[in-house]
Amino acid sequence: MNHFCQQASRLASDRLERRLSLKETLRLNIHCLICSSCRHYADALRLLHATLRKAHEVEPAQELPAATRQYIIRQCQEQPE
Amino acid sequence: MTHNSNVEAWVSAWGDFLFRYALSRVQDRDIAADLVQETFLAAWKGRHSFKGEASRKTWLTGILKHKITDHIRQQIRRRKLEMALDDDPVSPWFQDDHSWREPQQAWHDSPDRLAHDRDFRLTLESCLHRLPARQRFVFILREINGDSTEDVCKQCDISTTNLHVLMHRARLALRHCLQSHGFGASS
Ligand SMILES: [Zn+2]
Repeated sequence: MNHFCQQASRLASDRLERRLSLKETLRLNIHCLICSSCRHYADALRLLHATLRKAHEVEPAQELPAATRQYIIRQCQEQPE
Repeated sequence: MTHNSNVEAWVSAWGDFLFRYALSRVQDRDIAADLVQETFLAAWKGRHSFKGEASRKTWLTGILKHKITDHIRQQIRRRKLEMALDDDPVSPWFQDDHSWREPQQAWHDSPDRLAHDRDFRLTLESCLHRLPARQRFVFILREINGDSTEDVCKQCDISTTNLHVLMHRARLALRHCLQSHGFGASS
């Protein structure tokens, strides 16, 4: 017998990319009720997804390196009008 | 010299913004700085063609976006070999009967805590670097930068279905990598 886990893992990922059909949502949710691996995997993807969105917001401010700044200004000023 | 034709004013007004934009997409300070540099040089050369229908910032971002796309496509092309080995990438995680090879563990944590956890961020970075080039770029653009599906497909030259497959593979590999470093591993 083939298990549904491989497909469930794909649906758990797709759920973060597109709107699942009603049938897909039901199949995934029902499978997750009986399969702890898929339930844990689907929860982990959601946690990772939420964390990455957050992480992007708390990223420290980065500045363009001074050497690059000076190089750009020099190069541009040397160009003929 | 007006404000608009003063390159120093341009760099101080938009340099940091463009650098952050590039850095979050290419994840490498040197490459990001190079791309911003190329952007300013190209913009400066073409400054007379700027008609002002968009804001100057939007115009510069547009040029940078092209440079980033070129860079990403070049990287993907250069790593074709790596991609050939990537034909059946779900086999490491599933058995022939499509069940998990190894049971998946529960991962109890919160996005708030993880986002501030330096250890997690370093681990994530090293896990990302282990992904095949195309998976990595797609995942970063989509999941970290939150670019639209359409944008990512255009930048990486792939179909929507391809994008979904690549995201799926990237997530399987990342989950496995994070778990092996103790994030959501059984205790
Ligand atoms: Zn399952």
